[in-house]
Amino acid sequence: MKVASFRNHAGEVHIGVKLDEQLADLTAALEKYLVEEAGTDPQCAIEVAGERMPTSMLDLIKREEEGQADLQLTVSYINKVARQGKVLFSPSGDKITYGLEEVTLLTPVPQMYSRVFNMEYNYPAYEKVYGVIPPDDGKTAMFMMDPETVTGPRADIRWPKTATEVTSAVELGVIVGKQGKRIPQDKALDYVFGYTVVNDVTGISILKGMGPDRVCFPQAFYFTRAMIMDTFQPVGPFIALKDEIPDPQDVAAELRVNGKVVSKGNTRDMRCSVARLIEFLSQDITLEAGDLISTGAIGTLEYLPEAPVKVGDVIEAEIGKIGLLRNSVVP
Amino acid sequence: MKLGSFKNHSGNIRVGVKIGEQLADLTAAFEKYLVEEGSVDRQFAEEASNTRMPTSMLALLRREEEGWADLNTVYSYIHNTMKKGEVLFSPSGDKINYGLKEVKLLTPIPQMYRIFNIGLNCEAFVKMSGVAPPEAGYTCMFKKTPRCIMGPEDEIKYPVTGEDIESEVELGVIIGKKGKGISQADALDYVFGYVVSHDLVVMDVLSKAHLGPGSEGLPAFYYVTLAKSPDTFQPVGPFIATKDELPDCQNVGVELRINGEPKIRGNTSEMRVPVRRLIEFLSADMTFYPGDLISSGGQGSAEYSPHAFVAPGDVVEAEIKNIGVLRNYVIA
Repeated sequence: MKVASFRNHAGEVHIGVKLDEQLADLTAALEKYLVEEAGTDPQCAIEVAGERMPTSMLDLIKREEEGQADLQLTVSYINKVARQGKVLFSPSGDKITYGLEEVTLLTPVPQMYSRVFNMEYNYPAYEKVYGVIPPDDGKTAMFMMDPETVTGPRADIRWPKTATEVTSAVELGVIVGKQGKRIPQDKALDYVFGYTVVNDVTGISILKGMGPDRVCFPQAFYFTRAMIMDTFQPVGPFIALKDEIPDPQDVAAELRVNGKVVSKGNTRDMRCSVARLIEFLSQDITLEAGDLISTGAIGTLEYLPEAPVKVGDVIEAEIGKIGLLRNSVVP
Repeated sequence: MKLGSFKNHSGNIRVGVKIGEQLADLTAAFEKYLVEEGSVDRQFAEEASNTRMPTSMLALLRREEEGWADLNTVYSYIHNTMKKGEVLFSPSGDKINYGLKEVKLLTPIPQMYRIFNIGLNCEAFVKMSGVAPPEAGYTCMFKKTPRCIMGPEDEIKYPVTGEDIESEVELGVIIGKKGKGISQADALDYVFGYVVSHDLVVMDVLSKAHLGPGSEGLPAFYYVTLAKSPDTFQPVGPFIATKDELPDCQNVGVELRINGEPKIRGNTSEMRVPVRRLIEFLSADMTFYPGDLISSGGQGSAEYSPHAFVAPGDVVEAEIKNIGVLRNYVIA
């Protein structure tokens, strides 16, 4: 199942599930289910659907297990009743099924991820290509991005004032679905709501040219500063739930700039697996439903994990099991 | 003005202003002002006061200049109306003034979601760290999670990832106006006020980076965000001192005491990168929003190291003269 947030014809933000080339409004679909299958009074059904299947993705995720059960229920119902070419409406008159072209897809959690954790140096290519000293086994570098930098599909990436070189990278994003702390690796995937595509943009020149004779690499001082620029983290277009990706360590990803493949890899090469990252981060930090963990730039020796981009470029970050995230770089 | 957020007798979160040893509920005071001085109908006054003087500090800050104007109006009104020993109520019956001991003070912006922590921002700190300093006018920045933020008298929970826990005391800058590409000259126009910020770090997470020779320092920086982000690791408070209380933010003494004994002393005159330049540096490509906190870096001196070791059972007091004392307890 792939879920998304979208702006409908009336300009409202709703949540939907992808059915081939259609998107079904989940709140309206649950309302229809409640009336037609559960015998709920139509007046009550509007209210109940709004509570159990809120139009805010963050609110749905924060319902944790109960929200996920309602999601399964709604999606199996809508799969049963939706027909290609037929438009469905809820009992109160809300449109349920849209063609994908009829709506504007937003970043899947537009209510802002509670927090955004960006992992770095999580593929062996970093050590081999860039000469980066690898973090210890079972650990990796982490910086916190800012929820305000997150944008969605087709949103423009604005060229910064303080960087002369900018790079782009494709990463597997993990959306946390349950609050937890000190989560062991073997339970970690129970805390995952689903997966998304992240395009991690960095003002890389901010990290360079700090002088060769430093005891400490001072560029490390500026990691957060280089990544936290407005529009520098497109996320989306869908969240693929765990049924689509039973094994997060076998996911192929690709980054294209103006149609040319520049980065390519598979999450099986991750130094710290998704399960280990959850264990590592949650030791002293409480993870919350709605958090985003971006698991590190994907690449190989042949297709490097970071690609330079410039104004005018169209960047496509694609993970086949999730979707294609397209963004343009503008002045 | 010193502004705080507090939980009142019925458990609701409100905003207040400190007047002597009392705290006046700003929303309730504004309602009274509207009825008695602004001849607003009672019915409307309650709604208008909730909109113009919201009970959420973040919502109030987001009103920017308009919120600031209303804040000044209600402050001078309540300051002149309050008498010692007399309890005032709003027209709709909300209690206005409380003794400071009657309420639970919270961190001034409980709704805060963006925190920028500055590092290596005084010579004593650079010396202690043993790293090459960032270039002049630049310094390092990390973000912590909103769950790190605690209020006065709250407990700091001991982490599991290390045993060498160290405290820093910093001047916290609260942004009051949305802006990007802010110049040094204009920077202080974007400041709403100042808070005491107590920044904790698990040093073991940094120093236990076992790596080969020649790599000293670098891998430690991989883990700075993690080392600083455990739950409860950034008490902030007790009040926001509005700008007028600290006319020169580059000449402010800071102190940190553990169980009553001074461990850290410094002055913001020692900052490598001053507040104005921090705002310019960070806002060049990133938008600031009202309610953002910039914790401007641990202060210290040659005599008093910028870091102090803390252990379970310790009472830590971080103090900045014109703002207040922020007291917290380290628990196992």
